[in-house]
Amino acid sequence: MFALLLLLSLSVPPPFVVSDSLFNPTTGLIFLSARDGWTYTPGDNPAYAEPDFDDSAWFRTSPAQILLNADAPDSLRWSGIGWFRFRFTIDSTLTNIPLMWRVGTWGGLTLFIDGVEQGSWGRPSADPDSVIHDHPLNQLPRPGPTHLEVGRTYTMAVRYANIQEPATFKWINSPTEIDPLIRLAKPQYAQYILDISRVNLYQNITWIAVLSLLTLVFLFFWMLNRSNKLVGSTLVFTILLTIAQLGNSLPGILQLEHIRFTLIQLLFTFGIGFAVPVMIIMMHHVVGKRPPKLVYGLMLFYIGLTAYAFQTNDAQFGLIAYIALAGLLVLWRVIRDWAQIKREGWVILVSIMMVVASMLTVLLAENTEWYQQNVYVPFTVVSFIYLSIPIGMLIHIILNYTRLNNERNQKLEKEVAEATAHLKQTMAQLVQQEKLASLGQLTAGIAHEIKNPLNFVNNFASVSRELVSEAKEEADRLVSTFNIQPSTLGETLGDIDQNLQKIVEHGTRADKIVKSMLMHSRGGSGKKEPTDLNALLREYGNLAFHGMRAGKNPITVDIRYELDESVGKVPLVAEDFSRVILNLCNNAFDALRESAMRDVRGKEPALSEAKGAMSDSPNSTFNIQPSTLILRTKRTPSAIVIEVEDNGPGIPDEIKARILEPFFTTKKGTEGTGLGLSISMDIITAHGGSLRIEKASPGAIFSVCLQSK
Amino acid sequence: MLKFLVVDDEVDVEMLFRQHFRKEIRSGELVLEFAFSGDEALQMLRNTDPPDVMYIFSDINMPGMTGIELLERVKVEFPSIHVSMISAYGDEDNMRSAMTSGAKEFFTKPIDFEKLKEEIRQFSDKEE
Repeated sequence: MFALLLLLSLSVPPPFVVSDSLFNPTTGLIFLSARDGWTYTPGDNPAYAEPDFDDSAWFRTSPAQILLNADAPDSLRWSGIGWFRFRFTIDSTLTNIPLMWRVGTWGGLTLFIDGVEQGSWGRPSADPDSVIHDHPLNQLPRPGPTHLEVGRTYTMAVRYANIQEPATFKWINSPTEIDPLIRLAKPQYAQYILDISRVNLYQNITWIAVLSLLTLVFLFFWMLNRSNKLVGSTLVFTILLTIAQLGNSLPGILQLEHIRFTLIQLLFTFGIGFAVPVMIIMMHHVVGKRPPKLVYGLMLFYIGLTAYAFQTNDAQFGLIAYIALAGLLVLWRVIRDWAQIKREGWVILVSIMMVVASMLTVLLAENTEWYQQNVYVPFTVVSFIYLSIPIGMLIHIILNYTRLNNERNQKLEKEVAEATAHLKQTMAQLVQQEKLASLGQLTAGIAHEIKNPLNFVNNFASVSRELVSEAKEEADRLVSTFNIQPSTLGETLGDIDQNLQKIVEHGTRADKIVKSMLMHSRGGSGKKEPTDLNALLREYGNLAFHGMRAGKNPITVDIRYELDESVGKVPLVAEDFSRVILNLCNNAFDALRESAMRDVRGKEPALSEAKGAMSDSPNSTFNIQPSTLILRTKRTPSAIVIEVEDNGPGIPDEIKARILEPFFTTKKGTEGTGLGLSISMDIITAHGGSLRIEKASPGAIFSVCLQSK
Repeated sequence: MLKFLVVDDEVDVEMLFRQHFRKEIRSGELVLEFAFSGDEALQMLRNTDPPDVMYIFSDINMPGMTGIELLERVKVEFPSIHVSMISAYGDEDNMRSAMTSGAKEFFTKPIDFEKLKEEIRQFSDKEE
């Protein structure tokens, strides 16, 4: 390879033709140092500037190639100073166009055309310590070779000394740094560079300001809620980008010399480089996972990559791999936890992917014309890198806030609805209690008023019966004394006696109703007090049982208690509630009595005749299945349930619907008032509870449900 | 002959009592007088000196002077006369105040005439 190049170098090449079309239309620049046709020698000799000097033995290569070529033979190896020569001509397209030099170097350089010095940038010297270094960002052009003749061949000679520090050597001598070493500029470049440097300055200052501001914004958000890891990592991200932007723009703004330039540029390198794994961390926080240890590995990889780049100047592939890997890790997390990502999480994903894509674009397209043709292309790409995530995060915060707000509102609405329902229920309960109380007063008044006349009815009726019987005796005596033929008198008196008996019977029945109404209205304080429900149930269950045993038609009943001890104390108006227990028990005893009757008499329950049948046959002995009454308490999560279960005949459906109506009774004659269940129902409602009637097999369950809240 | 005074604002009480005690009245063992208010009762007691009424049965709940008030005044003015109360209110309060004011017995409505007769019989036995 080298031998071939040497062979080629033997023939004198034609001069390079500089034509208007070779200039970049935007910048008005042509990179001469990147062109073919250069010759080179190490060492230093003023004669090398002369156009007649025979350089045919020189090495034919561009400055960039030789400065980097470690494989060059010792005789040709770069030793700190050397000469380059380049022959060129201009064509007619450049007639009368004043051309300028634009030199960019960290070293020192003197330029000659046909032996005439055109100018120096820094000062080259054979002694490395005496070299005066220029700065590549000295972007102002100098007047170049004017009045060049079309078609004439000019010989350009360049005396060049560069920097020899190992830390910066490779980087400073990379193709991207050396290719722009010597450029020819058309006049438009002056305006271009003025514009571009102004734009660059504004851009840099703007970016620093924007990124600092974003850092402050996220610092503020993070201070508001330090446990929010996503905001925390966004803060880290903006800090790193601010550092990177400082590293990127400070050297240009401050015109730092190369060592500081390099160090400051490291800020950029690590700022932008460490921002990449932060994006992986962010995605993990989006799905609520701990970031993997792999992130630290990735950071170590990046440090290694930077060291490698310093040595080789070629880390592009590594950087692409680094960023692509980060992107893949983010996507992997997305695929794994698809379901966990909410609407605002997708915004973060899109932001991250925009940053990854923009970074890859910079790496792949930085040196293409497409990228450089317009300042707005790099500006746009950099904007994506800098702003995607902060803006995405702001959207995330807004969406998250909106969502939480909506959820909170819904929760609030639900609570209000619940509270309203509770209030309504309480109001209904209060109204019911009030009704009950006023109804109680009313019934007490009515009952009392009715009671007196009723007493008269009963008393007069019974005294009349005595009178009738006396009259009968007297009539009988008259009949026997005077021997009068039996007339209808005795019969009539008998009828009157029977009628009076009916009056007494129904009067007594009415009196019973009035009494139970009075009892109902007499209700106690009406104040709920914590009451041992199980004890109350036991007490009144037993009372009902003994009452039944002591009353008419006693039956044998097996009374069982299945009490849940966790029920404990329940707020009750004990006086009222005890009546519920008594009523339910008495109903159950009546039902059991009925079913006992049925067992005695076969299928036919004859309630109206129950009295007669009961009085002379103790039914229990005929009972096939022992009559059982079960009193049960249960605690459910929201309520306390009291069940009164009997194994009687159960309640036919057609009766079930009417059973709670006041004055509805299945007990004929003088047995029941029809108020028991109705009153019980009122009391239960006043306690905010409900009464349900269920079927048992056989029998019925009356289930009282009290809300325990 | 024993003279009883029944005080009740219900006029029909007279008929009821007269029918129930018709035999005793007929035989002359018993004389019943009726007053329809506390004032009337006091007036009747003051008509004869000393009063010939030996026993008063009074309702408690009456317009004007209540049975309890009547009881208290009778006990002051005519301490020798026995007073028993008859009332629909079988509650503790009325019974207690009646007893502390010196009532002999407390009967509840509806009147159990058997019990009343028994009380009268015991009283007349003691008097003779």
